[in-house]
Amino acid sequence: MTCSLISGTLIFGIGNPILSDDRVGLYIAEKLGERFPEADVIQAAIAGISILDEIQGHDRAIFIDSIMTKSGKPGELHELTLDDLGPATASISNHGTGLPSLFAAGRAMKYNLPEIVEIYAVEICNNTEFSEEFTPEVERALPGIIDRIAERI
Amino acid sequence: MKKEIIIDPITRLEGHGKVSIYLDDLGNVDKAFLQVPELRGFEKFCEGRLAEEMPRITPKICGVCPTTHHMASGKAVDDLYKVEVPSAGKKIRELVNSAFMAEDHTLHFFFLGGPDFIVGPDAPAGQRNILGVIEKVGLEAGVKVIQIRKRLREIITKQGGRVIHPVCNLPGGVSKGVSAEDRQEYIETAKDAIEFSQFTLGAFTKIVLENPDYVDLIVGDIYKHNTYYMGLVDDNNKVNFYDGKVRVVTPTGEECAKFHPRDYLDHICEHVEPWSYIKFPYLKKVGWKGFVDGAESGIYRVAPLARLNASDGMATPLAQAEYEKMYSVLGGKPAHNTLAYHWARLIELLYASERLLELAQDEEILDPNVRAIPTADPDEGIGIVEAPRGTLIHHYRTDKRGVIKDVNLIVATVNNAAAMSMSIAKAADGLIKNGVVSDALLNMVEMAFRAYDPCLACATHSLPGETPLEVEVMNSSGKVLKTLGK
Repeated sequence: MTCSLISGTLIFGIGNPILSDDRVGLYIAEKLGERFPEADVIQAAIAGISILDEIQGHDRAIFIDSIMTKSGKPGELHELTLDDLGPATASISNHGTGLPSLFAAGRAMKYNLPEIVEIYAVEICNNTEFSEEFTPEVERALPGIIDRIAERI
Repeated sequence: MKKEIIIDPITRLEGHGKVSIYLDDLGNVDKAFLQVPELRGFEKFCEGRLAEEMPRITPKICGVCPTTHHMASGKAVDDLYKVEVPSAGKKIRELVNSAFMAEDHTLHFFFLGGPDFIVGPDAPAGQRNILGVIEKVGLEAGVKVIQIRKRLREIITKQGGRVIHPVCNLPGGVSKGVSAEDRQEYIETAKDAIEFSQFTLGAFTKIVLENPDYVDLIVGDIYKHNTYYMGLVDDNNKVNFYDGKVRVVTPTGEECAKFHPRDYLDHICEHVEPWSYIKFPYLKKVGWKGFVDGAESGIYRVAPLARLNASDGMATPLAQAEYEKMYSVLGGKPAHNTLAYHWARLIELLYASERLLELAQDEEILDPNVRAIPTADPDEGIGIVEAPRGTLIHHYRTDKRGVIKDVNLIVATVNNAAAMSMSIAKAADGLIKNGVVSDALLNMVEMAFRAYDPCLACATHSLPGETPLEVEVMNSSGKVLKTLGK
């Protein structure tokens, strides 16, 4: 990976800063930003279509978010693509508008969206309790996760 | 918030919109309700923090309407510190709020409501999304949507400090005034926003109102509920998003309450059901009579159509003309047709744009006196604003140092929770007979949803991808008979 590519890279951490493990994306993006000063870093507690406004004009976007899957273990790292997240659908709410719909809509409307999209999702266990602390399982896994994503960048 | 009920944890944690429909012994609809993720511990999280932090904390509850939380919270801390915001400070807040309302309503119409009304309720599911909308209204419209939203968001960024979670509101005012240069830009943006609103209403007229089938759908009995309506109004009983008194009208349109935000607890109560942790607000003086409509039932509705019903009109001329047109088509006021929320939302888009222009052109907006420094001891503060999705109430109690002891929020969507449950039950009632469930049910429930534009969860998840609606039908003993979803 060359420096010039990193300079067109956006590291986008998504999450709610006051909802326990939901904050992982924000935290990891901040730490990666320290390692890759040439990259642009956004840490945002936003949902839905507003995300489109934030990601325009970059060659490569790296999304970091939390996830909960049926058989996942807290602290596990999933590497995903847009296709893994399923097709675009009719959204019932701005909260429920996922990345596939956003990209489909954005491309149709000629938003200047990144060609390369990588998605890292950290398996978490608590995103329903207001707190600024991670759960211990997630907290323990974070240094290793940050190293792994940094290697991929 | 403390009561927990058992629902599928994966469904809950992914933030799916989940609808549960219970049938009676004969297999017909008994009750229906919407399930949303339960977020716990907000009060505890706030306790012990300084009240002036609240305008920065509360926007983080929600990734969709942070600006409105910032406004309600700003007003609550003004009230808490018993400080009157200088006129220019109020106008700047209303300017930021108007830009946000216009931006959010635009987004709803094109991205969320569009699939039902522009593409059409009968179109195949695969086309009923934003791509279908763009195909129908043209790529040019999509580009207009992007451009106007970008410029409206620039106003929020410049005055609010940042676009995502504004930080401009302080007890007693705002952190910064408007420069002459920025003001000129805001005037241009507002003018273009008015033009854009008219373009959007034009598209709505052409695609929806000139199609008799759509008009029949809107004025028809579907999701029609004779409820009370609530919204903020100014001194002339005209719609206002930022300030004024809360007005409530009866199902036949007479004013039955008009109160200062401080008195909200005299008028609003919250009903609790054993099967849901959502509290259902209702009018205290009318009382809770169950999930039924009519003048005897205290269920009220909020958000665009409710605001228009609860007012005597719009404070700006172009929006007023559209207001009159809407009620003449709908057969008078109040209009009870839930699908007319989409139309009312566009009239509010025009109003927000016109109001933005009025505020930007007001000479006083350049006045540098934008904040009064609080001197009184804090004790209790209440702030009410209109969010895109309805009346939003923030209520804080503190000790004399301003340290939070108690927080109560009634968020916009919750006000409509009882009405949404009724709309779902109504849709289900026509499509479930003697235990036989029609596949059209999912679509009908989705349409009711999008009209109300509910905030499903004040959380910010985007993964794992889409969050489609799921409808579960249960028999009288709670056994799942059928699950519908994409």
